[in-house]
Amino acid sequence: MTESYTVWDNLVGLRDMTPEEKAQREKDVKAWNDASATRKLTKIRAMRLKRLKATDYLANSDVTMPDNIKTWRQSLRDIPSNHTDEDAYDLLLARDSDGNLTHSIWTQPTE
Amino acid sequence: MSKTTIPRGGITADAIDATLVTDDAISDEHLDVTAVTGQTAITSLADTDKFLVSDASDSGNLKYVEKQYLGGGALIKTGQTTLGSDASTLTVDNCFTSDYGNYFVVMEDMTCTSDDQNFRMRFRTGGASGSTDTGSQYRNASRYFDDDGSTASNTGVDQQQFTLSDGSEESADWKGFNGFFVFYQPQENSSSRFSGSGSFTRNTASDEDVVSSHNAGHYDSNAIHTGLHFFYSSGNLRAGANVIVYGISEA
Repeated sequence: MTESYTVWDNLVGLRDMTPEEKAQREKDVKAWNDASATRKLTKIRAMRLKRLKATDYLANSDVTMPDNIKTWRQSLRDIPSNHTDEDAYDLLLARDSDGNLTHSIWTQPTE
Repeated sequence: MSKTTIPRGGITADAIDATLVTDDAISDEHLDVTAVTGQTAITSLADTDKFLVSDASDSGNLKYVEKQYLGGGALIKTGQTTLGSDASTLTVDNCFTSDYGNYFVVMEDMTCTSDDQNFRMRFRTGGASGSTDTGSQYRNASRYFDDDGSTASNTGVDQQQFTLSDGSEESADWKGFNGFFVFYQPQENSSSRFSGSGSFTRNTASDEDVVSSHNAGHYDSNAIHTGLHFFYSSGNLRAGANVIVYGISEA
């Protein structure tokens, strides 16, 4: 990603960053890039929560949760422990050209 | 005795005064237009500067009114920055002064050159030769509502910046963050807070979502803030990004 290290202000227009401004910019961008895996895991957790919530009703006392749904929900809960690095997160977040998630863990088994 | 000609130099300076001219004898057709255009122009007005008026409540007699009694706009522009080319950051310096307590800020086409970046804002200190306040004193609460019905948020305390939006869409066609904030007493040492709304386009895996954004933020420590600083977490702001700051007059 190209960083131009430039500032456009209302007093002088476009100018190069001072050394201090450039150092701060590099620090900001590094912090952002270093947190890439954390951001992906946060997104994965949100996707997981959405699916768990969608099947919570099957845990009601008047409904019997099918075993394959129980297994699937447990596999969703185990995502953080079974997928522990950024490459694994990328696989979980991968999509096809239509925007559909490709990892099988996101597909709810038929009841 | 009447005279039909007066020789050059025949009337000395200030020789004709009000006692020698009949009332209403000089009508507008005899006024030289340079009576206005020949004067020295000024670019700012003091409260006691005067304007000539025809008093409708007093038979149209000429009177004057002082600038302080004229109606005026409630918003007075105090700063604007428009990017003429892509740049890492956009800064508006010296836009918060002691002249006004509260400020209205319009952000237009704050588009990133990269996908999936966070849009951020910091305060500036130091006036015209300002510097960016990077202290870990920022707290913000931003709530989003997407056009597909989903919701999201960005919150944090002890941050090094305000986070205004996330998931940037890099396409210039979609435009980035557009919105308006009100800043409350940013130049007061003990308070710097803002709230406002906006919209942006979020890059998603399958398409783009238009997102309604509701933002608020507070700076937790004492500081006199004099300007604003906008940037994305990485990548540049596209040319055309525009920020206008107005002081809100209480007059």
